[in-house]
Amino acid sequence: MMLLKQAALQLFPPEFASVDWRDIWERPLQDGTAFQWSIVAALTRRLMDTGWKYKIPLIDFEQQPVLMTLRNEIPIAHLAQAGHSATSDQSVALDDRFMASLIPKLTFTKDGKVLSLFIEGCPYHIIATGQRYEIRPDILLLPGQLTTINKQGQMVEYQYAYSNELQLEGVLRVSSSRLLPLVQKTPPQDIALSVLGVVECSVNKSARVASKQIDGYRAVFQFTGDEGTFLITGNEITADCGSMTHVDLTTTNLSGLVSSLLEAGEQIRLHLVEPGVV
Amino acid sequence: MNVKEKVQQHAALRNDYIEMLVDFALRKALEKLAEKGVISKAVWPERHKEFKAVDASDVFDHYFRIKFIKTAHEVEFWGQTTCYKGNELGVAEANKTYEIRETLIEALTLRRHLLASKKEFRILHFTFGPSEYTYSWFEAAKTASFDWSMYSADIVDKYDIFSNLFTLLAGTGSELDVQKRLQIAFSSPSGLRDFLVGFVVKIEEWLGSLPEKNALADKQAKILNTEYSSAESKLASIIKSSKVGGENIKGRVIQAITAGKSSDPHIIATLKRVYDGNGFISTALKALNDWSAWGNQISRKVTNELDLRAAIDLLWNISDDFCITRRLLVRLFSSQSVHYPADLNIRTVTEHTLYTVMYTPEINDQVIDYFLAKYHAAGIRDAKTLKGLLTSSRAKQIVVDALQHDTSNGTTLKPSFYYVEEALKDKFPLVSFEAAGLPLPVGYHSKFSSIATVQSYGNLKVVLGRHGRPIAVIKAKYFRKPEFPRRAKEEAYVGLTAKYDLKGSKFTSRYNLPFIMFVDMDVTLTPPEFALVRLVAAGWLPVFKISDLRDYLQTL
Repeated sequence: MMLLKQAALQLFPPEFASVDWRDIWERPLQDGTAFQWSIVAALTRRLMDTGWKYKIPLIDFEQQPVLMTLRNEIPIAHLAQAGHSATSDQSVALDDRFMASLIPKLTFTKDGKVLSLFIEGCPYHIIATGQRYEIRPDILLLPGQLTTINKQGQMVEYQYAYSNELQLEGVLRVSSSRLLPLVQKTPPQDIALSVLGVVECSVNKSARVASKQIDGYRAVFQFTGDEGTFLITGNEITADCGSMTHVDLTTTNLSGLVSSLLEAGEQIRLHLVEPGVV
Repeated sequence: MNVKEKVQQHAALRNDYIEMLVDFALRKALEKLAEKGVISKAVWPERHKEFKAVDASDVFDHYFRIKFIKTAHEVEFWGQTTCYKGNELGVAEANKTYEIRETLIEALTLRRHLLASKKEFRILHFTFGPSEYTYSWFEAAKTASFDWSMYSADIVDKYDIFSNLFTLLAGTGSELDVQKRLQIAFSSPSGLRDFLVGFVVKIEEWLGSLPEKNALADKQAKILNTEYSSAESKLASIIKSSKVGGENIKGRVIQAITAGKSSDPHIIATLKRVYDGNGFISTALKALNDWSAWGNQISRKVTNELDLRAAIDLLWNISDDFCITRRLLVRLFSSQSVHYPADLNIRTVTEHTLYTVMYTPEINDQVIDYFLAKYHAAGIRDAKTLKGLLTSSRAKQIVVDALQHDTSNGTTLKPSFYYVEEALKDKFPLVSFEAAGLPLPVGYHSKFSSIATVQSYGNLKVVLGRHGRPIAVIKAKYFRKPEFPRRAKEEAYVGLTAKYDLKGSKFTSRYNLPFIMFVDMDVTLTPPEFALVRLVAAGWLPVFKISDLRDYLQTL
């Protein structure tokens, strides 16, 4: 695990040095979080190498070191302990978790093109499409960028410039509810919202599980055929899961691991970000 | 998803809907007050406002701050909402006691801090569902501890707000949808509209007249302050002692139940008392040990010739084994999960008596009729089919689940207290209040109402020192990690109300004895500090090790 940490930190831009990684690098590899962040690091590095400029939107926030590793998932109270009153057991305040859910981890620009990277969820897709789904792709790439985010009392307002034609806006109410705490959105009607692609990082999944997951993404994000998804595995899988590659996590060689991660990053770039641009 | 989770999800959704309804009504009332020029401007109340302090980490369902034009005072309001699901009989549900204790101590703790901050405030409580669903003292205790406690029956009596709200909000995916539908309901004639309008008027009237703060609640909050201040110097050492882990008595007892042995004599003595107190554990272990033999034995008693009614009667009352057969009978008629097995809607049949009490012949007949109807409806019409179900693998699983529940559930198994008693008895016997010649520990909230009955706390004992002199009051309880803050809340209320008495309008110390909470917990658990301080502020001295407990008792 230490090797994976070394490889990832070598690939990340310098601003990531201050991130509070909690115990991500100490958890068992099967937890998957460390592998997922290593792939983020490799993709970022490959995009930088091919002329993309990166921005870390969280950098302006005092809480950035803590918020960086939180999922891009709006906090929803899944289960209350009925018969008991609520206790706040979160170390990160609820309003900060709301803010963090909406802020992409990275935004990349090149030749007028803009895209943002989200971890384990993308509130903009859920809100714009009106879909509720349980799946959470490890990495999601969405066209556009967050232009405004403000907290006014209990309300969090955002504007996300998806394209020149489409501006996504909304207001979320900070609360611990089972329902999506959305109180306003523009456009008001549900729309189809294309994502550039999703990446699934699998340490040790069986072909059947991985394939089911990829099918789930195809259904939710309306990808057809081989487009839109990319699977990176830590084990060898022989099954049709669309585009995929393999990173050997058993290696003890740091430079070998770094090259293998970079190759995976390059594959994602070629498949999801800049198809055919070598 | 298991049954418990399903029930909880439904309850969580019900709470969520009701909280949104309260939020909606508060917002409407504030808009009206702003229109009338009573307050400077309307605000949309916040939901789930966190309140953190040295002894609290709580969440309040509603919060808003408004300025009253006449007095130019800014006042902040904190509110909680509670739902009681009710049952057809309209009888009290014992299990709601935990929740009310938590709610009351949260409000009093918040109050202690708001009083210290010199802010102007009010703390509110809204109860939805039938008030008779809980013990009668709840209502009086809320009235005494909040500035305003309102029941939904005060708006429209006997109105089934839950079903109507579920119908209105079915299929809503976001708060936006909920707000829209509530607005529609608020504007178009219906029973729900009458309820909503009545609710808004109640809030508007109360806020508009803004009664004085509740002096009785202030006094209770001040006791917390007194207890906290007197123990403040000991806090650091209490917290330090909590960081070395617990004795894990309960875990060791469960291990001994499974292994059938232990090298600790106190565990062996504890185990004996556990078995004596809960016949189901030993009976179920024996049955599960050879499930087919148990099945044969039951089959021999319930012959195929019996009609279904006689078979149910026999199984319901079968000697020695009814603690198992009853658990099966209440579930096996349905292939689905039975959410509330004790809800037979028969008086005196409750969660607490269902598996343990031999009922009177009249009640017994009603119970048998109830199950006969259930089994008939499920197409089970003879003893042979019923026997098949009783000896099935599903039946075995039900017994396994029940055993698991009984060995892990704090309310049915109290090994921690037994162990402490066993470990101390050579020098410091633990006796009942009666035996110690002390008044029973009836919480001071019993004095809030002349009609409500409050039982004395059952799990408190008195420690005797030299010459049989009472030296302390003690409780021992197992605290699981995820439940630590909640348990601390619940016990804080017990400590506060048992330690003090209300005489006239004055709170006085009832025993002038220290209150010890022996916290049994996992060896690796480090409790949240605020939860420990909460216990201390409510008058408890938390102790984590038997050796520390003995050392402390020596000093008394």
